[in-house]
Amino acid sequence: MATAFTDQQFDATIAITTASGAAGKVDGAPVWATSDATILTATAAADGMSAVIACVGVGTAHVTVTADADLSAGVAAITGVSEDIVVTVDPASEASTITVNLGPAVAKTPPAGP
Amino acid sequence: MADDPNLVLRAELVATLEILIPQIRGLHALALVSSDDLAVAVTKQIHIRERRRDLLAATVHAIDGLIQALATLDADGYPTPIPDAAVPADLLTELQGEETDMDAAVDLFALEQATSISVLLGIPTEKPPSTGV
Repeated sequence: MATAFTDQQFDATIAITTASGAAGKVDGAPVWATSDATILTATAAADGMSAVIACVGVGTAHVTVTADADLSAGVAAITGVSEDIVVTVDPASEASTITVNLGPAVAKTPPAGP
Repeated sequence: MADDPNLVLRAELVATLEILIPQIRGLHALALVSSDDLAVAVTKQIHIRERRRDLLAATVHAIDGLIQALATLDADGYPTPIPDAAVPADLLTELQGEETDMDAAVDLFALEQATSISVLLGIPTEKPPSTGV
């Protein structure tokens, strides 16, 4: 599980592997998404091998990446899922004090007579 | 014999050797007539200069080897490309059969398909300031 504040972002990359653990190839650029776009957004690089994950709201979400492992005409989708990312508000950016500022003292307006 | 590929370098090395060699001869003569303390200083200079002489000589020797190698390469026909080989029809048929066998063997292998994607998150960093108005 990863944690971050709403004013932060992650650089994320992917590793594509075969069953034997060797580096694998996929057809086209992998597609990035998040489980909740109100918490995380993903902006992928053109080749789909990396993305910037921006924290936009409070909550827990994860990133998914999908690619086509079939290099011929068919489709064999494989999906990778990131660890959960818990996004909170940075306490340093939350209001902690209220200062009350008084203006100069002035004479009260006399009450209106009958 | 091939041309020296760097006549300037050779001339510089040889000229330096010609300066060092009489210096070394003189230092050896000086060592024979020096007091013990002076002989130590003279001998140190002999060692320094003999090491430099040996390195210079080795470099000149290497250049000589390069020239000899270039001459041999030239005699071998370089830089004319080596032509493709012509073989009798029966040998060519045998070669083509070998090629067919190898193609058949290569076709036994297929690309291993990717099976997993790992998503790797970096360390969270501050988002760049918004450029909106």
